Amino acid sequence: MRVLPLLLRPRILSLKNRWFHAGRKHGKEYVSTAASLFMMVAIFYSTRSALEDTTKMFAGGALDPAIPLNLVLTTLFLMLTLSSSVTALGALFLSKDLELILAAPITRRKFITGKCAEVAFASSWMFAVFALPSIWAFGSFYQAAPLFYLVSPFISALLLLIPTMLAVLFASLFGALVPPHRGRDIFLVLFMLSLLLFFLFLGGPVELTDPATQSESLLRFSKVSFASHIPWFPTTLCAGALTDLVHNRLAGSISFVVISGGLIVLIFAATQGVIQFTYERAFSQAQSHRSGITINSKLSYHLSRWMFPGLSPLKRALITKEFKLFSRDISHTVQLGMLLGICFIYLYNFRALRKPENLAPEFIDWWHAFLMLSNVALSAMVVASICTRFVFPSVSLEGTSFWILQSAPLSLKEVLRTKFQAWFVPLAVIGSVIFISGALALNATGPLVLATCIAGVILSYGLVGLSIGIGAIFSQFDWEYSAQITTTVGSFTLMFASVVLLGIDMVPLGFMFVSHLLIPGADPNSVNWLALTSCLVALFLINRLVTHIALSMGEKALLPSQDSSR
Amino acid sequence: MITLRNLTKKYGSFLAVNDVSLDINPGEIFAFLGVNGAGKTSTIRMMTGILRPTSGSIFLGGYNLLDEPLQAKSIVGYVPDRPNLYPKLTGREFLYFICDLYSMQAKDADKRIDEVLEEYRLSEWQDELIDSFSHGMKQRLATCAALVHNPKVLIVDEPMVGLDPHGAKMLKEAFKRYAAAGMTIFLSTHSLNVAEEVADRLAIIQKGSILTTGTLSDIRELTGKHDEGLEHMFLELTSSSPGH
Repeated sequence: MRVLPLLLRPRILSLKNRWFHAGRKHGKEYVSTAASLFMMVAIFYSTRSALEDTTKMFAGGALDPAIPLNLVLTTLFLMLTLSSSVTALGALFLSKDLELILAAPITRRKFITGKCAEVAFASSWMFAVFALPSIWAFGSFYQAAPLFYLVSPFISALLLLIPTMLAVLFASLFGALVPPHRGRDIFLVLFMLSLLLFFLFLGGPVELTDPATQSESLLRFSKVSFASHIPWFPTTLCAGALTDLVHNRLAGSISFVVISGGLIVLIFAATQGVIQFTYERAFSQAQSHRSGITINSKLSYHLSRWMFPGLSPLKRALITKEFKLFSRDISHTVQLGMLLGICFIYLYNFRALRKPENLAPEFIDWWHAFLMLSNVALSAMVVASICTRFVFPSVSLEGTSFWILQSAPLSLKEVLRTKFQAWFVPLAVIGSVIFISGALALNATGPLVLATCIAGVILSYGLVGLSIGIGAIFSQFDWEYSAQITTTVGSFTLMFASVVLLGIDMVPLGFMFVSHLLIPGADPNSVNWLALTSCLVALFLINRLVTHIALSMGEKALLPSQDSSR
Repeated sequence: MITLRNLTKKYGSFLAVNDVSLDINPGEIFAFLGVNGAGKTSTIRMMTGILRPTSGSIFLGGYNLLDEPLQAKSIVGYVPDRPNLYPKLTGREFLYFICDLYSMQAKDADKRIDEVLEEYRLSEWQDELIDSFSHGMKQRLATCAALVHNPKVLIVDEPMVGLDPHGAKMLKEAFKRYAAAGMTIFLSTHSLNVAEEVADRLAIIQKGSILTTGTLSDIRELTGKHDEGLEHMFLELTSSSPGH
């Protein structure tokens, strides 16, 4: 077992050095720690509040804690399986320390143990931030005894070790069948497909939003989470063990520890078998960078000159480089396709909400205003997700090639501004389409559709600016594989900052929809242009300011400082 | 053409470059020698604008790098010790990118790219992704990128790393040719034979400070080893210096 601390040591020491290295500023670490703590508190209270609401629906009888616990644990199980699978592929086939480790006298078993520990270590923050507060919220809601708080972290950690082990097994199988850099995309596609099937089987939010069928739908939802009717599924067992703990009983926990421990040993043995027979071939395959692709560079250059005739050579160079690097990375395009798929599902389902048949007439206008605001907020969240995945990493993706821009005759301000422009245009187009489609699906009037579209462009402006700025502040050029960039605390901070920005944006937007839709006795076809315009101007000023501050801070963070490291 | 004045760089409390002052003339090949960790790369990274000095100033072609960074950088070509280039661009696309960064006209860019690719034997590979290049090819492409915009100053960090004997010979000859045409070349190396073969003058840096500057004859004079090669003199100077 000495191999465990040995192979994990570089990760742990890197983490320690980030905090304690002499002369280093800790601003980023403090911000991300504060954001994590805030998120933990928010998850704790929102889980408690959801439990209260759900219990009210089951007025006829108490809700068995195992049902919602199972839902939460299954969601976490799926999340961890996906993220750990991506990490495992990188750790097994693409990380930079592999040559060193493989050349060292380490047995395959020790190698697998070390890599499993590495993957579990990489996902441990998800466990701390998402799982622990949710589980403790259950304990708090069901007034569990202190034993619950002591034992539940170990029980849930053991459960969440299973996805890690499964991920390493999947990754080794995939590595044997397809090149690992394509395997990650396949993982993501499979995951999204399973979500889609899951969603279709559920029947969409129509039933979930209908009070008449809400409790029935929730039970159905818990059943289709495939855990509650499979008694031996780890999440079912874990939910049972935690429910026992809520009632101060240890029997369930002991049997869960025995079963899950056995399962982990079984998966480990299977992984060892797969790696023993396939790893060398798979690793060699992963090392082959020859793409066999040839491109007519001259033609593509002159085409770019023709496509961007008004741009200076400098801007054109930066924009076309950004576009080429993006389009030639297959994982980007696949993920963009998947995100757009989510947009369509979102729009399809939004249509279900537009007919409030069981609402009193005096609330219909309120409902419309609420839906219009929700459309803007949810569409903006979709844009924020796209920004987190694609715009935020754009600075870090310069990677070790960043010296080219640093030593070229251009300022970092220009680099960041151009990256902002390069991303703002496509994001504004995608954003506008989502915002307009949502508004049309809600049968909004022409002026409101127009206002929503303008709001969409402005929100995209702010979100892209924020993403580039935070991407520069949290830039990390020495990544081992590009998927790492979006799993850093920087992307977590960006999501948090985006939610705060959108929260502020909702003030003028809320005022805009309310003033347009809720003026008593006003002609519904008349337009309060003054209110619309002032709200949009206020919205623009907020987002302009945020973009300016984010880009300036990003530029400052990238500037070579007098105390910068070697 | 290159002037460094009291250049100092500290990383926290660690003094990497200590009060370095140098003057390099136009058309001169200047070799910057030192053992690993002596401060060569830190000096070069400051000269290219990648690192900011703790104190001191850098003049390139008369422009103060700290006050007029764009003008100063526009006359410099830089070849780093590790050729980290954009892997998803082709060789030619990368050179077009560099030409645009240095605001070259499209016609001139096409012609110049053909010339440098030909000179560094990369024409056949120009339309392949850099991802598929060997280390030596990437090193040659990085050299092409440094030369494509016709710089007045060429700064090269460890030029021979990763090059095969043919590539190394070709590069040494090229340096002599460029210098004869008026280009100032600042090359950092610990390959003493390269310095001996091509450099007009050299400086030896040890623990961030300059030990000596001058021609090979000046250094022979200083060490009193009139018949010895640079290697002997270098070893003697760097092992007898205080703090070694």
